[in-house]
Amino acid sequence: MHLLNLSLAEFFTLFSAATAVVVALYLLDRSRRTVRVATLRFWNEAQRPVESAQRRRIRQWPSLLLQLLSIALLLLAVSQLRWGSRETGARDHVLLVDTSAWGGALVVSAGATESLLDQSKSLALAYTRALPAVDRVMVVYADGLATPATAFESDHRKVEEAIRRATAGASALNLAQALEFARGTLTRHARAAGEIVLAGGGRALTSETALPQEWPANLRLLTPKGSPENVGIRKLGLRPSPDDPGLWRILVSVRNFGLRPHAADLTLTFGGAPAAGRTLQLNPGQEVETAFEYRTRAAGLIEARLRTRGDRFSADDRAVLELPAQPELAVTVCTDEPDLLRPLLSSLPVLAVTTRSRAQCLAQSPQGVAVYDRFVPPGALKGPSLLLEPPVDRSPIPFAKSGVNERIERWEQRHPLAAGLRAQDFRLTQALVFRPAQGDTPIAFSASGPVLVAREAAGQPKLVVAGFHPLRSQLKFELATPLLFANILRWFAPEAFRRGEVFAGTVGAVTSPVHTGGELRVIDESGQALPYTLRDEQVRFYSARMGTVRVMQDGREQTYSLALPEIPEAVWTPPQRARRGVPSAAAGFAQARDLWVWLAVLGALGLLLDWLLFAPAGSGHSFGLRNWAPLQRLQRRAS
Amino acid sequence: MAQGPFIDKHFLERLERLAIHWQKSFGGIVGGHNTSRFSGPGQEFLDHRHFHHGDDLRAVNWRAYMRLEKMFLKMFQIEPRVPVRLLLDASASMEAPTPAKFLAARRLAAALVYVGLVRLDTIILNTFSNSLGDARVCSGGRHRFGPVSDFLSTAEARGTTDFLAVSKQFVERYSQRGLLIIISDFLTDADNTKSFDYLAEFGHELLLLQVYADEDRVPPWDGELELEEAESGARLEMDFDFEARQRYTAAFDEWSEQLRRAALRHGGRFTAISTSLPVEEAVFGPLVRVQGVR
Repeated sequence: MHLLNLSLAEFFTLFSAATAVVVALYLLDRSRRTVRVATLRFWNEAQRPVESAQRRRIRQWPSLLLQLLSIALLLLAVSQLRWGSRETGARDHVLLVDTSAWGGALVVSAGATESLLDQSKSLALAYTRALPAVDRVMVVYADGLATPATAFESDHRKVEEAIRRATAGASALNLAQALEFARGTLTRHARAAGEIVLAGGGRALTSETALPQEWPANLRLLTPKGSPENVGIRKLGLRPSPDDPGLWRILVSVRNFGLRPHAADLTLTFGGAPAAGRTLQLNPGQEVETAFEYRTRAAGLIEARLRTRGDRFSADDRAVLELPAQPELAVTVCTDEPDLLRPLLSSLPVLAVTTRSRAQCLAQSPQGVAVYDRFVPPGALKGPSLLLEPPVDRSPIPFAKSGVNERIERWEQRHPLAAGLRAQDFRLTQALVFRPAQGDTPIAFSASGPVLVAREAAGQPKLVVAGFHPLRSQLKFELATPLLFANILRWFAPEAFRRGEVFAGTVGAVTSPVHTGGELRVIDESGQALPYTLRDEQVRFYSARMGTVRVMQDGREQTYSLALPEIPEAVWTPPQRARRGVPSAAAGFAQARDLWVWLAVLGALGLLLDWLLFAPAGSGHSFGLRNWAPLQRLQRRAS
Repeated sequence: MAQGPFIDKHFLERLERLAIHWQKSFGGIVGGHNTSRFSGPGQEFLDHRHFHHGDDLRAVNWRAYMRLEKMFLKMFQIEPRVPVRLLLDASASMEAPTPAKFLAARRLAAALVYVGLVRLDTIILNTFSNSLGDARVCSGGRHRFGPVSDFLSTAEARGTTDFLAVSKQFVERYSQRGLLIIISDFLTDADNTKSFDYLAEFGHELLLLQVYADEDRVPPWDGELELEEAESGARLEMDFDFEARQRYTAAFDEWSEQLRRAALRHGGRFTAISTSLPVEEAVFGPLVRVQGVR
């Protein structure tokens, strides 16, 4: 037996103070009262023989004792007197509700179909109801992250409400993180550490960092019954063919998470129309990757759907990706020697090249990017234009001199036009050396000056002027020539050269290959940058929510559609010593019994009895009850 | 504690359908509202008697004379105007243990005076303690009620009660018989019944209205009490408990019964009115039941 709220010394101090006050009030209340009356006539008749003072004092003791006893009972109630040892007092528990994606799997229990999360919630509710009322519980939603839903709460109704609110997320349970969070919370914030209770379906990430190194001794497991079968899509990837524009390579990865072999029908649809299909045989734990090819240059939704008999988890049976359009870059070449440039431009599959004569270009403005071979049209240029060896008198970039046997000595490496260009020491038989104006950017330099200049002005089309003809000089044998043309065309229309790769995967940690150098950006669908780590030419980021993440580096963009739930590959094995199941209220917890309610009721009854029996009738509190015959008899007997 | 008006308008309107009632037959001139066994110049036939010299010839029953050759005189019933006197106890005991008792008594007196004024009765209002106070004649209709209300609302309770002395003074002052209403708590050490006998022997009809507080009848106090009598200042220490309260209440009830018997003995009436009963209910309840008004 112990007091929960007060120490013994505090209790006796308070009781002494209350006793002093009560005795003082009692004596004051029992002192002789002066009353002014109309006549003493009837009082004389009512007067009885005078009793001794000793007799009077004895008669009033029961009232005082009853008051003191009642106050002592009320003080004990306030102190929360408990029957039982102090060790069995109130404890704080952390209840981890497994809200991982696996909680959405269905199981059949007692003829009814319900999800693992529903079973977990039922077990958590039963556990909460088995706890003593004084125990506090913190509810934590555990999936990839551990998120507290409540503080340590003594109001079990709020705890139950938080349990009922739990919904399955998209990530897998990170058990080590959840247990570490629970352990730390109990250590730092609990009054008396209770249990760490995990209500969940038994699947968790089994990597080294996701499984705890040491299991807590106060762990209790509330494991739902049943092991649902599941065959699901793990990954869906789309990659354009590098040498065949319009051809997409589609890679689908399917895994059998169940304990039985399954035959899964995998179908692909594009824009709602069937695109491909295949039946996969999967043994337990087996993951199969299968590839498809699909040809389209149009944008649209490509959907992979999996149908498996006996599959109890449908969230990973469907993956949808948005296929981006594959645009072509229109290039018009104005030349009287079409064979000179054709081999070079046809090597770039993204280009739609049109060759026109000078007369045709003069008659009709060229579409898209214009390449003018030793020719400059009159008037202003209307689109991005590349001028090769323009006439001296028509060059938009002022020329300084006409050089002979000029040698390119360096490239402006900071400009994208010169990216990757290292070729030097080759001679240009004939070249124009320019005198760049304000805003012009020299790209290639000879000893006499710039021979390749770019101009980019607001409101004006981009312009590149080469003072030499790459294919009429020694440069045509250099690898730098196609690279220079590719750089020029990418600078003109970067979106046409962007290689888009699209993947559908599971939420959680994603690893993506990148190359070193170059600006790397990882953004989610709202444009917010996601934190990432870069190591060994791989970028690694984490997203616990379903959505789209883009990894962009230079002209390459990888889109990750994280629309598949993260399902752990294996079932983790709990330690043998962990307690299991919902304890019964009596057996599970050696709880101390609260007596304060009874003490408060007894104290109140004592005060009420004292008031009914001994309260002065003239104190203004008289009720009809005072004239109740049994009460009067009791009062006479007490007196 | 804030109090309402001394007597409210709604109550006065209800009082207008009442009339002060007396049971005895008093002689007097026409104008009252209670019939008398005395004959007079009324309208209702009462009896015949032999004609005597000096009688009014207009009242001779000439038909009987033609048949019997004897002269009989017709007598008529009258409703005489009877003097009503109201004695209001203004001794110190009327404010003990609570002033509510004197307030209730004054309101009751005001109600009775108003009833009389409405019926054009003449009411003589006297306060008293150990002697009879100045008389205030109330007559002339309801519009004369204002001064009466002012007089009663400012009356104070003080002094000791001496019923015998007051009775003697009353008899000396008012020789004409009539209705005598005494409003008092009748709580004195002396036996008052002799003074009532004295008044009744002079032909007055008594209407005794005992106004008492609940504390007068059932003292609510318990334990050791020091009692102080309001009028004399005498003190008494006693231990008061349940049984003592029972004895007290029995003595009080016995005293009220004595008062009732004293009133009835001389054809009077008695009623006891608690201050816990509103004056309006007291008038239309106990007072109507004893036919003090009707």
